[in-house]
Amino acid sequence: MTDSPTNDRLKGKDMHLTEDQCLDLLRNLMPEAERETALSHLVVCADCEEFFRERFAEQERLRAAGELQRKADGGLTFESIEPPVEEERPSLWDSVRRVIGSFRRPQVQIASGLVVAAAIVVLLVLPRQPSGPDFAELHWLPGHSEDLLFRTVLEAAGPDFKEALEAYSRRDLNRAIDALERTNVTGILDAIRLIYLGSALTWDGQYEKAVEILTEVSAPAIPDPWGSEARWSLYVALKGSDQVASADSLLRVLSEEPGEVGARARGTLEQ
Amino acid sequence: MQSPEIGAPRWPSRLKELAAELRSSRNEPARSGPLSEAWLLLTASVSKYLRIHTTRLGKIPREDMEDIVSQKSLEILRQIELGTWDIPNKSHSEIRGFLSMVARNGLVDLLRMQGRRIEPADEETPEWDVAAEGRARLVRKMDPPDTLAERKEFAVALRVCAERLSPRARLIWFFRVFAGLSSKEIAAHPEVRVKSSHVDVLLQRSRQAIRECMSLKGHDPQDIPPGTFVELWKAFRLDESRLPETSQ
Repeated sequence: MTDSPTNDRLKGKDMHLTEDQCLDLLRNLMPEAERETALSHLVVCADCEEFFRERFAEQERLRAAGELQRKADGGLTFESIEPPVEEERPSLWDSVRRVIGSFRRPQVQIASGLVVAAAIVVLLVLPRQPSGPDFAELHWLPGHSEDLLFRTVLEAAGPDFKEALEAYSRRDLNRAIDALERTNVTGILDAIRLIYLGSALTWDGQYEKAVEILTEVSAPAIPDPWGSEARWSLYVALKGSDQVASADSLLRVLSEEPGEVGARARGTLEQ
Repeated sequence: MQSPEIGAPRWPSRLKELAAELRSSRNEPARSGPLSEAWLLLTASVSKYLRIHTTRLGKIPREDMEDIVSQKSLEILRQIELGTWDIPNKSHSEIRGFLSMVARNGLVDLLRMQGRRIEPADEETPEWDVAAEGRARLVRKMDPPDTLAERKEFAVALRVCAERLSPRARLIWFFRVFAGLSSKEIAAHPEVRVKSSHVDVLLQRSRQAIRECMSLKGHDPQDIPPGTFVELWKAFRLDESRLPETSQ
């Protein structure tokens, strides 16, 4: 009586899958019977499964990195694929140009010079104030440099995450959002990443997206002050996305909390 | 009845077939599928040989490896198109030897630019047989049957939970959990193509759904045991690997 075919081949022998066999399996080049043999081995051999998974990851990373393009001279190039981007918000200069462009007649231009100057002051000097929540309510998350333990953990998370948080600290929202979206971390660090992303989106006026991100983060698992500030950011984002009832409910919950956020919530309720 | 042994590698034959298709195709749309598939085979094989050579000649950062693989694979692909490398008339060992040599040359060029010492090539060992595929590992002792049964149960449960996700959400979740792709990479992937922020949203929802589903089945989805990836890859990706590569 023999053991299973897989065990017969593996017993006492180094019969792991080679990289060539992994490539054949990934590209579905094996006949069905051989494929079943290979898959049966992968189920019981953690080393080979991990190796196969790494080859799979390598392949999909390459597919996401770019695509082949034909050059004018017939040669080939590998060009990066840019994912769909958010619609650009009009820049401050676009807004100024629109104001200036509305005054085309010379007589009107002279008379409206003061008006244009006032518009420039409003648009450039004063912070952007989109409709929605009072921006005095928004608070920046604590800087990562303010906590030694957090700094130590982030050092291990890699340069992308550090860059993201430094951009956030500089209030460079575009760069912070971009870097936070492309940072690849797992576990608790991913939760922290999403908290900062939700906060940056809220500051940037992307309330709906901020709500979706922050709603799913398991904030109780994150230590304060980041956990409580994440819940405060969610409250502001709910208000900004006109989810008033949800925002009010959350505000009442926050008012029961100790600490600065609780005091802030109680102060808001009393207004 | 005994399962068949796994035979010699098939990818060199497939590369020859694709090369013949490329030479005979008359227009660009007809070439795009073979071109994309040949690209994936070349990058995977050049990457393999590059990894083998770095064990002898010196390690380099992942970004440099990816650059060498891309650059050399592009050059080889162009040679195949133009016929300057007549691959349809080459044997498998010649194909593997050539790709290994190209990978080694790319590595040597980089190391020389960095001013690092280069070990001379081993004249007696075939180029493609360097370091016995580069993996010296001990045979792992087989796990007892009850452990394997538990792992199988977990893998099947996770597959069932993942099947409840929408196809796109499942794919995004799979790419993150098992391939470790970032949100930006997933967003740019030809099978996904959504905004990065939407990837985050779908991922969070998928994780929540998986967590709840697995919890009902008595499992903790954070501890993924061996055997799980291959179960899910077989269920969700095996059919995809059968489809011809197409340009987006």
